[in-house]
Amino acid sequence: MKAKTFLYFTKEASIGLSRNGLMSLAAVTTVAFSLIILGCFFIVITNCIHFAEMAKGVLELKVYLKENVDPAPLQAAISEFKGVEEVRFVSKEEGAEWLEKSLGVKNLFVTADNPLPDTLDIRLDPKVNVKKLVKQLDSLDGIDEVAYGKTFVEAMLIIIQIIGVLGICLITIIGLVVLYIIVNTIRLTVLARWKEIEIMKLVGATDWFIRWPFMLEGIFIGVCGTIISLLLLTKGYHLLYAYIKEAAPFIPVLSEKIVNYRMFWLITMVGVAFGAVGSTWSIKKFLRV
Amino acid sequence: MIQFQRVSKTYSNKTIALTGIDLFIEKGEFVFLVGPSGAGKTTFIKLVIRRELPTEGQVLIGRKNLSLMKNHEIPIFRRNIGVIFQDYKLLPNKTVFENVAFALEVIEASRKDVLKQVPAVLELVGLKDKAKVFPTELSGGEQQRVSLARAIVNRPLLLLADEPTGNLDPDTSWGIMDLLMEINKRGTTIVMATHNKNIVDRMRRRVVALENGQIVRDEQKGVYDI
Ligand SMILES: Nc1ncnc2c1ncn2[C@@H]1O[C@H](COP(=O)(O)OP(=O)(O)OP(=O)(O)O)[C@@H](O)[C@H]1O
Ligand SMILES: [Mg+2]
Repeated sequence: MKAKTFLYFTKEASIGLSRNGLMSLAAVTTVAFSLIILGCFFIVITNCIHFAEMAKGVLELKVYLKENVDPAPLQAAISEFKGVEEVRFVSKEEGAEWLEKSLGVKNLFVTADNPLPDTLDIRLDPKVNVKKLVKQLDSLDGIDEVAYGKTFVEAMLIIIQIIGVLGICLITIIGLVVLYIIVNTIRLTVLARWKEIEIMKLVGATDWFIRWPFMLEGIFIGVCGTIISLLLLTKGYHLLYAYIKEAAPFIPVLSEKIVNYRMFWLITMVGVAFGAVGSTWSIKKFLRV
Repeated sequence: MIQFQRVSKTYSNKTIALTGIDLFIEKGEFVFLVGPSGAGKTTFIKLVIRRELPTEGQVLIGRKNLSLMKNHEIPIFRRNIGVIFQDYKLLPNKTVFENVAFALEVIEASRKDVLKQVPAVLELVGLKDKAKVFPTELSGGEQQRVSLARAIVNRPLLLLADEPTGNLDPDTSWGIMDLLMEINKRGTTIVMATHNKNIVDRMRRRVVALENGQIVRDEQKGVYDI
C-alpha cells in the first residue's frame, strides 16, 4: 500500500468517526463498559487462582524417621527437592512436649517410653507437585513413613485445579460475550452506513479500499474503549487493594503491578482486536454489491 | 460496446422487470432510453454496471460477459463507466468536493490530479461555489449535477445517465445536454434514460422505447412517442 493511500484511509476513518460523532461516542462507551466487565471478572478470577495456589503453600508434609537415624543428611537432601520450601527437624522429645502442651497434661511419658518418632516437618512451595515429591521421599533410606492428610491434600489439589479450569472457562465465555457486544455495537455504526458502502462499490471501490477506513475506525473505537476501561480498572483495583490490605490483611491479594500488567495485555488485545474484527465482520455482508 | 442477448430480469420478489431484451449499442453512440415509469429503464442500467445479474441471457460490455466476471474484476470494470443515478447516490458524510473526488480516490489518483480535475468538473456543472457543502444541504437538481460531475470526472468510456434532467429547469437541462453532447463528441458512449419529451424530440438521436420490460421501438433519429 502506498503511504499516500494509507494516509487517505486514516483521514477517511477520522472523518467517518467525527461525522458520526454521537454513534462513535456510544460505541466507545459500550466497548469501555464491556471491557470493564471483562476486567472485573479477570481481577476476581486471577485472585481466586492466586488464592488457591497460596493455599497449597499452607499444606505440610510430615516425614517420620526410623529409630536412631541421623536427621541432618536427610534434612539436607530433602531441602534440595523441588517444591520444598523449608525442612524443620522435630525430635521425639520436642514432639512429646508439643503433645503435652496441646493435650494440657504433664509428664505424659514418664512411666512409659516415649513412642513418638523423630520427625521432619516440610513446608511446601505453592507450585509443588505433591505426588512426585512423596514418591521421591519414599525412596529415601531411613524414612519410616510419609504422612500427609492424603485425602485432604488431594481434594485440595483437585479444587485448585477446578478453580483454574473454571476460571479460564469463565474468562473465555465473558470474552465471547464481550466480542458479541463489541461486534454488535460496531455493527450499529456500520448499519447506518450500508448505503455508503453500496455507493462506494458502484463507483468502483475495491473491498479493501472500503474496508480499511472502517477497520481503522473499529480499531480506534477499540483503543478508546481500552484506554477508558484500563484507567478505571487500575484505579478501581488500587482502591480495592488498599482496602483489603487494611481491612483483611490475611487475604493474599495479587499485587497491583502483576494485575495491571496482565490486565493491560488482556484488555488491550481484546479491545483492539475485537474492534478490528467487529468492523470487518459488520461490513462483510454489505460488500456483496 | 453494449450487447444484450435475450436478456430477462426477474427480481427476487418475482417482479418481471425485463424480458427478452436484444440490443446492440455501438461505441460512441448516444442512445435515449424512454418508456413509462416501471418499464425497466433503471433495471437496464443496473444490468450494465453489474449491480444486478440477468436471470436469463447474456450481457456483454466490450468483450466481457458480465455473468462470468469474477468478483475482484468488478471494481476495475466499474471504473470505466460513469453513472448518473436516478436517486443520485451521493455519500451523505462527504462534501460535494469529496463526493466527486471519491471517483478519483478509488483509482488512487494523485493529490495534484484531484485538486485539478474536481474544481474543473464542478465548474462545468455550475456548482463551483457549493464545493464545501454537504448533499443534504443541496436542492434535488444540485444533487443531480453532483452525481453527473462524479460520473464524468475520470472520463469514462461509457456514461449511463438515469433521468439526468429529472429535477432541472429547462435552461439548466439544456446546459447539461450541451455538456453530455460535448462528452459524446470526445468519444464517450452515452445511454440516457429520460421522460423529457422536449429533449428527445429536439435532439433526434437513437431512441429505444421500453414498455413492460420489452423493447417496443428502436429508431435512429427517433422521437419520444409515435
Ligand atoms: N430491487 C428491486 N426489487 C424488486 N423489484 C424491483 C426492484 N427494482 C425495480 N423493481 C421493479 O422492476 C420494475 C422496473 O423497474 P425500473 O426501476 O427498472 O423502472 P424504470 O423504467 O426505471 O421506472 P422509472 O421511470 O419510474 O424510473 C418495476 O415494476 C419495479 O417495481
Ligand atoms: Mg428508473
